[in-house]
Amino acid sequence: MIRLSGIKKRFGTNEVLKGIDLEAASGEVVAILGPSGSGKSTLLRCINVLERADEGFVQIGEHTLDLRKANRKEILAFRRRTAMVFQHYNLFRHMTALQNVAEALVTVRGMSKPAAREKSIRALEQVGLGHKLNEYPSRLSGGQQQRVGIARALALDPEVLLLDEPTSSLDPELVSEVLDTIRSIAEQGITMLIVTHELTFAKEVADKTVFMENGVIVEEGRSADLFDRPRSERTRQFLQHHSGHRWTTSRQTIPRQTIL
Amino acid sequence: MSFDLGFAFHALLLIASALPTTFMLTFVSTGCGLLIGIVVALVRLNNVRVVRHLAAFYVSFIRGTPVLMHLFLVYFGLPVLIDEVCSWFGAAGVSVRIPLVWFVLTAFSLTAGAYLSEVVRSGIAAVDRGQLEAAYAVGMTTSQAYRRIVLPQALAASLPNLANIVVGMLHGSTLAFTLTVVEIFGKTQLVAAQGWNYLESFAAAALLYWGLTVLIENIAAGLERRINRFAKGGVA
Amino acid sequence: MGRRFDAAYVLEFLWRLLEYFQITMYIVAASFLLGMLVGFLVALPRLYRIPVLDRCSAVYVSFFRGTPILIQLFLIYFGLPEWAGRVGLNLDRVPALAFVILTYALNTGAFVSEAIRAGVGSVDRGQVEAAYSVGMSSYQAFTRIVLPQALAVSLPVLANLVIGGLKDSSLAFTVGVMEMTGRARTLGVATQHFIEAYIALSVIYYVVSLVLEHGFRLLEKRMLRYEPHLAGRGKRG
Repeated sequence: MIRLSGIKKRFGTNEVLKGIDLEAASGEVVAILGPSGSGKSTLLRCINVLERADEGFVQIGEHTLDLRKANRKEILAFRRRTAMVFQHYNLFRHMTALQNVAEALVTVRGMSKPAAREKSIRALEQVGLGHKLNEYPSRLSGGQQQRVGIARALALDPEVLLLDEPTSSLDPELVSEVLDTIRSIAEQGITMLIVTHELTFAKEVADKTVFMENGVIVEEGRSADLFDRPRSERTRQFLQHHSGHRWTTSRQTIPRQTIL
Repeated sequence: MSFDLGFAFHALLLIASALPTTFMLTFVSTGCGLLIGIVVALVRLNNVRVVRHLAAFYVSFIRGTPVLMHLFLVYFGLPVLIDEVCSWFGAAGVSVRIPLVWFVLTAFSLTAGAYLSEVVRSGIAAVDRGQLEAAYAVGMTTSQAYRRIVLPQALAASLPNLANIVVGMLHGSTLAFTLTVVEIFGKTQLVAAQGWNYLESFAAAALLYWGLTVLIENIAAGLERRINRFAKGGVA
Repeated sequence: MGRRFDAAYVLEFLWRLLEYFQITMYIVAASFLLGMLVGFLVALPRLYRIPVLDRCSAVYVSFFRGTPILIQLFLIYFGLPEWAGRVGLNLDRVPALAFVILTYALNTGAFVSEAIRAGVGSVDRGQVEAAYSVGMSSYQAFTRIVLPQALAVSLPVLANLVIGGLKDSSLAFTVGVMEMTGRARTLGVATQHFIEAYIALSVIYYVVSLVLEHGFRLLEKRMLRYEPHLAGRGKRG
C-alpha cells in the first residue's frame, strides 16, 4: 500500500502541489487525471524523489519517508520499493533490451548475472518481447520500447509501480499494445499509480480515479462512480472535454501472446 | 614569490614589438587560405572531374601532416621547382633572392587553405538547398547565386569554425621562427636569452597569445550574435 | 640550397627515420593517456559544479587552449626548472622527454576535458532519471549509463586529439628530444639533401595519420553500434 500526506511543492513562486493526500490499498490501481499543469506528473516524481518536495510524507508498507528531511541513503533505500515507467521510455540506449532489464538487478540489487538474466528474460516474455532480447532501443518501435520500460520496472518487484503518462509519446496505433500490457499487469495485483490521459482505459482498469487541477485533488472515488456520476462541476467539464475513445477493450478478442 | 613580475612586464613590452609580424603572418595566410579554401570546396562540391581528386588529396595530406612539414617542404622544395622552371627561361639564381617570409606565407596559406576548405564545405552544406533554387528561379547565374546568396550565408554559419582556424593560425605562426622570421615567439627567445629569464619571458609571451586568443573568440561570438539576430527575426 | 634532388635518398631516409618511429609513438601514446587522465580530473569539478575548483578548471582549459604549444613547451622546459631552482629544487637530471610528455599531456588534457563535457551533455537527462528510478546511486548512474555513452559520442574528437598529438610530436626536437623530425633534420644537415629527408618524413606522418584515422573510424562504428545513424557523423573538424 502507499499513502501520501501533505505533499507540497513549489517551483519558484509557482505552487505546483498544494498539499496532496492520497492513498492506495495494496494491489489497487489508481488513475490520476487532470489538465496539463495540474501537477500530476510532479506528484508522481515526488514519490520516488526525482523531484524534491518541500513538505510531505510518503508511506509505503511500514516505511515512511519524510520528504523534507530525507537524506541520500534513505532516498536510495526508498527508491527500491518503487519503480517508474516514463513518458519518454528513458531506456539505456547503449544497452540491449535484455541488458536494460538486467542492469539494475545486477548493479543495484546485487543479483548474480545468470539469475538476473533469467529474471529479465521472463519479464520481457511477460510483456511479449521475448524475441527482441538482444535489440538496441534504436531498433525498437516506441511501443516496444515502452514495454521494455515496463519489463524493466517489473523485474524489480516493486511494492508500488509508478507510470507517468506511459502512452502520451506513442503513435496512436501503438497505444493499444502498451495499454493491454499495463492492463494485464494490473490484473496481477501490483499497486499502481498511473498518470494518464486515456480516460476509457482509466475507467476500465483503475479501481480508483483521482482528478487533479491546479495542484489540488478536486475529486476522487471508485472509477465507475467518478466517470458516470462526477460530483464536481470541474470534473464533469474535464470529462466532457476529453471524451475521445482511443482504447477499446480487447479483453475478449486478443490473447496476450499476440501483442506486438 | 620567485617570479619577477617587473621583468615579466618589461619582457611583455619588448615582445609586443613583434606583434605586427605575428598579425601579418596570421591574417595574410588566413586570407589567402580562405580564397584557396573556397576554390577547393567548390571544386569538391561540384565534383569537377580529375581536379577533385587532387583537391581531396591536398586536403587530406595537409590535415595528415604537421605544419612544420608544410613549412619545410615549401622552404626546401619550392626553390628547387622555381629554379627548375626558371632555368627553362634562362634565368638563374632566382630562388635565393626571394625573401624568406614569402615561403612562410605560402606554406601557411596552403595549411590554412586545406582546413578552411572543410569549413567552407560544411558551411555551404548548412545552407538550405532551397536558397539556391530560389536564386536560380529569379534568374541568377551560378556565379551570382553563390556570390550573393549561398556564400554569405555559408560564411555566417561557419563563423565559429572560422574563428577556430584563425586561432590555429595565430598559434601556428610561432613556427615561423624555425625559418628565422622573427615574430612573437622568436622575439621571446631573444629576450629570454639576453637576461636568462626564460620563465618570465615565456610567461609574458603566453599571456600575450592568451589575450589575443580570447579577444578573437569574443569578437567571433559577438559577430555571431549580431548575425543570428538578423537570421532569427522574421518580417514585422 | 644543397645538392640536386635525388629520389633514391628518399627511400633510404625512410628506413633511417623509421628507426625513431618508436620514440615518436611513445610520445604520442604517453601524452594522450596522461592527457585523458588529466582531462577527466579537470572536467569533474565543472560537471559537478564544485565551487572554486570549477573556476580553476575553466582557467586551466582556457590557458592551454589559448596559447601555442611551442610556447607551452618552452615555458615548461625552460621555465619550470628555472622556477624550481629558485624554490630550491634541482631539475637538471630530469630528461627532456619528461618535459615534453608533461607539456603535451597538460595540453591534451584541456581539450579532453571539453570533449568529455560535451559528451556528457549529449546524454539526455531522462536516462539519468531512469537510472535513479531503478535505485542507482549517482556514482552508478554516471559510470554505467552516462560515461559509456559520453565516451562513444566523443570518439571523433578524441581521435582528432591523438592525430593532433602525432603532429605536435614533430616539435619535440626544439627542446632536444630526438624523434623522427629531429632525425630528419640531422640527416638533412649531414647530407645536404633536405628536401628528400622531409619528403620521406611527410610520407611517414601522412601514412600513420591515415592508419590512425581509419582505425578510429572502425572503433567508432563498433562503439556506436547501438545508435548506427550516429557513427561516421563525426568528421574531422
